[in-house]
Amino acid sequence: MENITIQNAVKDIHLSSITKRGIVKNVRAELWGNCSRAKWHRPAAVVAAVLCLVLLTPVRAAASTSIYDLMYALSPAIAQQFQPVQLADEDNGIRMEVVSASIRGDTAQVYLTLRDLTGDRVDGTVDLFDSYRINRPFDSTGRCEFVAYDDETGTATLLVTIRTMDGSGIGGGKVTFSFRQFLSRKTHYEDVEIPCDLGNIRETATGWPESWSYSGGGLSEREPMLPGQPYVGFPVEGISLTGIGLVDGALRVQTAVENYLENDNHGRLWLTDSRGGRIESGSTQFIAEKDGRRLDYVEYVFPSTPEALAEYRLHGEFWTSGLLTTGNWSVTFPLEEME
Amino acid sequence: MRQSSGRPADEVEAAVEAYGDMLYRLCLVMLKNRSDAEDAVQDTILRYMQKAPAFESREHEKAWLLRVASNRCRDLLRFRGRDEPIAPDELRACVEAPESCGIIEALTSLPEKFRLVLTLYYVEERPVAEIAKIIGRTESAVKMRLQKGRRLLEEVYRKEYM
Repeated sequence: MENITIQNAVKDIHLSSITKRGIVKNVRAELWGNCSRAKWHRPAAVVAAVLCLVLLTPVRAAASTSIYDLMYALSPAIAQQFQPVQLADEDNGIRMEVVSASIRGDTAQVYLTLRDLTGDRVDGTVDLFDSYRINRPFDSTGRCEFVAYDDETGTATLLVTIRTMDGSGIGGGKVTFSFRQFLSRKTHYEDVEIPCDLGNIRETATGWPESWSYSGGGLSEREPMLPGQPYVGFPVEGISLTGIGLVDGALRVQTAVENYLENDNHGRLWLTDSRGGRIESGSTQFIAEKDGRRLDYVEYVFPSTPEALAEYRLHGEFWTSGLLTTGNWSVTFPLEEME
Repeated sequence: MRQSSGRPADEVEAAVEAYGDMLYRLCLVMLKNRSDAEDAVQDTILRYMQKAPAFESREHEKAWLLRVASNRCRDLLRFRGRDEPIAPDELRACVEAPESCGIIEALTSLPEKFRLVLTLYYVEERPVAEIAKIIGRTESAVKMRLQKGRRLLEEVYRKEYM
């Protein structure tokens, strides 16, 4: 067995582009904070659950006062750990308010609300889109989580958690929370069947499009399919299907997203058969320009034979965003440790 | 006010792009589970961003990352306390050429100490002296592991896949 065989085989292992994006997002969230719905922490989880109940009931009131008062009314023990802050900043018609905050040991938590004063840009899918910052006079990690959205007042509630990196007590001080942009009108396509006859897929030409500028996940070692015209009928708005074909017997599916840096549209694909079998794809990516527009391509590669493909159907899960709002929102507030 | 990390935010993506595959290869061979391997890569990149060590060269940077990832994998393996074979579906989902699967399965069937040095030496082409530092053993111990590991790998591969 030659050394090169071991090297070639193991170097065939690649992180998918989606996993890479996930790692980037998670590392950023861990280091600088990032709006995410994924994680809960005590006692914030309890308060958040209470707030969800509160905000989903038909309550009419000024957002911050109501949230704090109702939080106190429904869970006095936890609410007592939070101090009312109620300081706000407005830019581009968006009002951001720090409602309440808490310090316990090495952890500070802050509830914020976000409201559009002029329209409906704030909704129940708000994502601060990596533009969120917390500056503290000590080394810390931060995280921002979506809590709830109140249809009545058009108010989104977010929870920011700050923790010192060395576990030392925070002990009070000033915190500045700021962000520059957010996404909203997001859509999650949970399990979409993509209409195509996998039994009639043909070998497809490969090559690099003009003005390609970057590749990752293995495409630097082989060519992608030449992007074609977007398929009519692809069921996801904001993502185009630009190719589906066989390359050296392997099924490849290519999608493209325009202005990816302004929408974060992304997805994943898999194959299913009638017996419940499932084949996941690997993926590679590259960027190209067309008519002065940036296009981010993802090419999904399936480990299957052409003969077996007829038994499978192509499915996908996608996340898209309809609106990017930019501005400069910043609030500085004192935090004192509770007894 | 100090930033919470030693490196600027926009370096995260560049680091994952530059070193993600290298780290993932090592972590998958070591941990034999995609989810655990992805976590180990993420932990390594996070540590890289937080510590922001100064490197003399790109090779020095790679060596540091491989050492951190190796230690993370070994910690996870000790914590896990079991060493199950890699699931075929797991493997097929992260390689592009089906013919790669056999040799990777054979490699991952070896004990941890052999698959680590074989991966570092034959895949990542790290020098013996550097591998010795990574695993905390002497150069002669690394050479012994390479010799024995290669023999074991050949035996498994010939028996199962030829």
